[in-house]
Amino acid sequence: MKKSKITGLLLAVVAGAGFFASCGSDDSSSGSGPEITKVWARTSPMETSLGAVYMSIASKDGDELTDVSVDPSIAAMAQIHEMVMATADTSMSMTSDAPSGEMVMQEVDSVVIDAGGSVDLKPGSYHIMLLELVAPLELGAKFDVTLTFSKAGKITVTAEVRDEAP
Amino acid sequence: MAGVVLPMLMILASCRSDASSMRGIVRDEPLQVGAVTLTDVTAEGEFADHGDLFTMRAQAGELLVMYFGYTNCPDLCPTTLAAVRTATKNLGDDGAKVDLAMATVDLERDTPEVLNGYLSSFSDHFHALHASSQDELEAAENAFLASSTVTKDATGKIEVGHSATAYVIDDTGSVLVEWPFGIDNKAMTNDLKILLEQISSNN
Repeated sequence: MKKSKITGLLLAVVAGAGFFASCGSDDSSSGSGPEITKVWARTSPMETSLGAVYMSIASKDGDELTDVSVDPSIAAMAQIHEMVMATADTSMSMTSDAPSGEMVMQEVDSVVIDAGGSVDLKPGSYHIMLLELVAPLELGAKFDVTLTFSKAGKITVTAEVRDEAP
Repeated sequence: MAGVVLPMLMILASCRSDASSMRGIVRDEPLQVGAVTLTDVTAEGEFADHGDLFTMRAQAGELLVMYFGYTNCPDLCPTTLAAVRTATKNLGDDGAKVDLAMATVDLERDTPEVLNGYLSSFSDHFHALHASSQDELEAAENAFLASSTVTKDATGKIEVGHSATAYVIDDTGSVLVEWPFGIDNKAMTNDLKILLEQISSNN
């Protein structure tokens, strides 16, 4: 799963060079940092204090999303979550009671994007969960989400609140 | 001989394509849930005055979309319920013939008030179902071959596992199609249109 440290370092140097080269332009430049698209959050139903943010992350050199945050005026906390299907041989200690066929949510430390690949944060898979929403997420609203990558560092993207995926 | 076989194959092929125009799962022997009852706590919308017990049947000539979920569910439940909402909107006037029912699997946290507020985000004609006991919930789940698990860890953090299928039921309590998680609103619209046409042509 994990690349060797040397490869990782080399990639980090290349990524760093790419980052500096693209200084002065925005995220949509062709630098080697992650390319983040289709950032959206679902309208949150009344009576719930939870929200979910989705996006697609592509990376030429590979990277790892390690942390997420939003302004406290939006939600108290943000976490990376993954939905998984519980199976009989699951090693998840906390959800081992869930029979196979049930979907369970678990917090994950990071999301790895392989070099040249992309990962979709999408319903039924990964999502950024917002906890303790200050106010419901209303259709059309926009807010910033700050993503921390192990190589590219912090990148802030804007999520649009929608009913369904763009 | 080939002249006979070929048309027969074509007939078979066309039957098949007819059946497969439904996008959800259609069982050869549909689940029968018309005898299942759950405590109804609906306090808003069209069915605010409904009785205390809900039977798993659509209104005469209509359809019912049934889901087992919980309101502290940030991903699966709102994804499916939002798709149902869009699908019923896509039906135009016929959308009024599709009611929504959700039974919470999180009996402790989902109070009737919370459940009503949550469901009113997705439909004007919904049934908020809150079993009065775990046994009542499980009996209902069993009829749908559904299941759920609520666990609390040492820190008090609650984790919920649940099967995430939505069920479309007719007025006899027959489950006409099952939508596993991930079916989008277009597929739901497709299925609901076909089923409503079938119902109106049968009447």
